[in-house]
This record gives sequence, structure tokens and C-alpha cells, in this order.
Amino acid sequence: MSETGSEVINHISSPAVAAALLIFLGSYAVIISEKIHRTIVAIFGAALMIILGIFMGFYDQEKAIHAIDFNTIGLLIGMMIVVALSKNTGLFQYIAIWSAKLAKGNPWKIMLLFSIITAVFSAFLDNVTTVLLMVPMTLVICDHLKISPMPYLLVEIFMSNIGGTATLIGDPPNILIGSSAGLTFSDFLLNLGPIAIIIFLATIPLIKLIYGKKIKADEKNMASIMQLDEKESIQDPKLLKKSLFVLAIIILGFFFHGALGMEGATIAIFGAGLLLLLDNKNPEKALHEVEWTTIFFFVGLFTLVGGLEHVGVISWAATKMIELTHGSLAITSMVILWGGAFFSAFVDNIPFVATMIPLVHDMGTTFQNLNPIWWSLALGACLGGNGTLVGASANLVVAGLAEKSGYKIKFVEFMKMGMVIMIFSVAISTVYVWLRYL
Amino acid sequence: MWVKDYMKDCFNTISPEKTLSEAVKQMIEQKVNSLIVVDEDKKPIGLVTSHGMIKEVVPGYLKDDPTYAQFGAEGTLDKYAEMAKDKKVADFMYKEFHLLNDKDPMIEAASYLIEGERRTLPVVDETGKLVGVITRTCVKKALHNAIFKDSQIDPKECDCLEHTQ
Repeated sequence: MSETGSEVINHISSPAVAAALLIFLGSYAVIISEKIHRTIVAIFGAALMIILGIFMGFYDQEKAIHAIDFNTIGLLIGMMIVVALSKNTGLFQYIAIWSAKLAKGNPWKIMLLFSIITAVFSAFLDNVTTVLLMVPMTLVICDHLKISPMPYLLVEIFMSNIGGTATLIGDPPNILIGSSAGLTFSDFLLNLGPIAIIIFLATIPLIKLIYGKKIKADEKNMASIMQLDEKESIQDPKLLKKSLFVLAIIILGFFFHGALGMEGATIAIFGAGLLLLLDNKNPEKALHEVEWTTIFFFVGLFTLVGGLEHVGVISWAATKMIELTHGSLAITSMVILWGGAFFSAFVDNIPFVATMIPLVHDMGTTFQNLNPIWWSLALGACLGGNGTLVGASANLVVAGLAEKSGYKIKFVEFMKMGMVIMIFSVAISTVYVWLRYL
Repeated sequence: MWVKDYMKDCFNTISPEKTLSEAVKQMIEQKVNSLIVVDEDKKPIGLVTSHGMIKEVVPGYLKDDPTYAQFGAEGTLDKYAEMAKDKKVADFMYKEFHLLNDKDPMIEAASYLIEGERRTLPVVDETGKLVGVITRTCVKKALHNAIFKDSQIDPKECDCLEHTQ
């Protein structure tokens, strides 16, 4: 990817650079403004980039198709199909009720266990799915305890973003980075897993300090949790067994995909195909539940960034950034970690990471080892999601679901807590990156 | 067969300014499942139905996935009813409905009654004023008369137990 950028830079005219930048920054601005759906902007901007690229000689359809990371697309679609089939089996409800009973209805213990469940599931499924399954259960449990679900909802958002940081498949920025940098599932687990666990463990006392005293329930209401029967939640025991079997195969496959010489998409699509085969029903519904708007957003974004790369802007920006950091790997990593976190707090982290990836590749000419930068990018983009309510899709999904159930999460209220959690976790990451990689 | 021959001339109306709790009370007292919302000029502007009111009370997360409701806490309905009770009729009434004219054919009434959850359609005269309603019972009577040509029933034989305007 990186070579093409520097190759073409010499014979590209400055109007071409201006045109490509205009389309890219224009699309970015409209995406940030949220006036038009981000997927519409990405599709339209991508097509415009190709058309202008043909007229001005820097881009065409063939190059655009090469710019699309089909491994990311395949991985996302595969996991979405598996999730679509397995989410309605009642597994989540079972685990949530089981854990609430394990906590004997104690509100703080429930918060702790729900935090663990949210973080672990966010690491292996996407964050949006995890919170979509956790929020209703949280509202039900809080109704039993007759307490406000608000602290729980906020904590689940924080934990889903922290948990999502841990693995290759936990959060879209990681999928993008892993796919492009050739980092495996095990690489992510070994490098980001420990720091995600450290952040999780360090955040728990902070949350206890903030919410511990506020969540109190009566003995009588705690007892009503013990009346719930988690077994009632299992809707389809056969499908549940098949789903668990396939999920186990997928996770096992991810552990060894580097060694097996398989890309993540191969594993995820195999899992999707296997579960569809075992379920053996009309695949229409499962395929319908794939979030095609997200998939098309990725396709459009890859095409847009590809145009910018071919016109030479990305390698120019990479050179500038290295100039500014005086070629220091440590400073570059820190700028990407902190800059990435604050940027991702206010703007969708997916376009940010998609733009940064070719830029980081271009830095390969200066730095022998890009890994510290990759891990800094992943940590900044994922943990930055906690900064504000718009920082990650999962945050908005929780807020949407809460609002239509009678609880409004306010932007500023969220930010007060979110920024604390974000800065706290990025500070811990700084120490981690510094000690381990620099 | 025309709407004017089969429509019910008795119907129950409510003002858009009323609240959900007032609507529930009126529907219980008048033993009906729907009310026509009319403005000051007696022109229909919306429909309030039991279905619509229940939808207003059930929280979003249970609407999305009712399976969670099996674990619902005692008192959950009370809690959400309390939150919904002061909502204005204008805010939860169905605003989209097919408006029948008393000169319309019965097939038009029949076609729109099978759409969605609407069980009552308002009928207006040429000035736009509400003059009656078509319910599924009205269409049932039309269906009877369409099949049994030699034992016609009088569609206007009022079966309204409830009647207020």
C-alpha cells in the first residue's frame, strides 16, 4: 500500500491533490456534522473520488477495488451472521440472570459481574451487539431492585469500550489495524489483552468510589432477584448448542489463524457458513440482519482513503508528521495515542483509523518497528470511544435504548464521567506502551 | 354498496388536548377500543386506539424484544403507566389513517381496514366534518348483504351500546 503513494506523487498535478483533498475533507466534515447519514456520504464521496480520479489521472475503479480491505469486510460480515443467528437463543439472558443471582441481588456485586460480562463479550463480539443484549437485562434487574439503571448503563458503556480493546475482533479499529498491519488475533491478545485487563481492574475501584454508595437496594427487592429462573430464558436449546459450538470453533480458529496462514475473514466466514449449515433454515433473515449500512460505510471509506493515498497526500502527511516529531518513535507513538483518543472521543473512530493506517505504513521508511505505533493507534482509537456520548456506536445505542425506555443520558453528564475514564485509561496505556515498547 | 349506508352514525370523540389517562378513562366508561380525535371544527385529525395506548406504555427495550418481559419485575407496568399517563393525545394518536368520504364505495373501506392495526376509520362529509365511522362490524354487515341477497339485514340497525359525542 505504501509504495504506490510515493511512486505517483511526482507526476500528480496540484489541482488533483486539491480535488482529492476537497472530496475527502468535505466527506469528513459532512460525516462529523451528522446532517447526512455517514454511509450515504461515504458511498457518494467514494464514487466522486473515482470519477475525479479518472479525469485527473490519479485514481480509477481498479485502484479503488484494490484499496478495499476485503479481509475486514469478510470478517465483519462473517461475525455479523454468527451473531444474528445466536443472539436470540437466550444465552445472554441466562448468563445475566445467573450472575445476578450469584450476586444474591447485591447491587454493587451485580454491577461488578455485569462489568465483567460486558467486557468479556465485547472482546469477542462487537460492542454494539453486547450492549444491545446487556441493556434490556440491566433495566429488568434494576426494576426488580427498584433502583436507577443510569450508573449501570454508563458503566456498561465504559466496559464495552475497554473490553473491545482487548482483541482483534473486539472493536472495528482493531479489525482494520490487524488486517492491514498483518497482526494476528494472538498478537492482539498478547499485546492489548494485558493492558485491557489492567485498565479494567484499575477502573473498578474508580467506579466503586463514584457509584458504590449511590446504589443501594432493599433486602426485599434483592430477594426478588432470587425468584428469577434463568432457565426460562433459553428459547431454542438446539440452536444454542450449535451456536456455542460454532463460537468455540471461531475463537479457536482465531487463536491459530496466524499459524494456519488464514486471514481472519476466512475463519469468520467459515463460522458463518457452518452455523447456517447446522441451522439449515432459509438464510434470508440472518443475512438481512447483517448491518449492511456499516459494511457499505467501510467500502466507501476505503475507496475515499485510497484516492487520497494515490494522489500522494498520505505519504506527504506521514513525512510531515515525522518531521514534527523529529523522527522519534516515542513522540510519534504518544501523539498518535493521545491525539487518537481525543479525536475518537468526538469523531467516529473508524474513518480516523482508516486514514491513519496508510499513514503509519508510510512511516515504515523511517521506523524499523511500527508495532508501538500500531498498538498506540488501537489503544487511542478504542479507549477514546469512552470520552463522549458520540465517541463510539455502542454509546449511542445504549443512549437510544435508554431514552426510549424512559431514561435520558445527557451529553454533558456522560462526558463528565467519560472523560475521566478516558484520560485515566489512556494515561495507564501511556505507561504500558512506554515500558513495554519504547 | 356505499359507505354512507353502512357507517355507524354514533361514534366517540376526544380532543387532542386531553391526556392518556383521560383517554383510558373515557374508553373504559364508553366500552370502546378506539376514539376519533377531532379539532374544534369537528374535523378528524387522529385516532386513539387501545393498541396505540399500550404501545405508549410498554418501554422501548421490551418493544424491541418482548422475551425480556418474562423476567419483568412486579410493578413495572405501574411504573411505565405512571410515566406515560400525562402524555397528550396529540402526541400519541395515530396521525396517519385513511379518511373515508360518505360517498366512497364499501370496497374502499374494506381495503383500508385490513391495513395495519386500525380497526376504525373516520367518515367525513363534503365539508370535512366527521359524520360517522366504519368499523370491521360494518364491513361484516356489508359482506353478509353481499352474499345473502335475499335476506338482507338493515345495516343501520344500531348496535351501539355506547353513545356520546
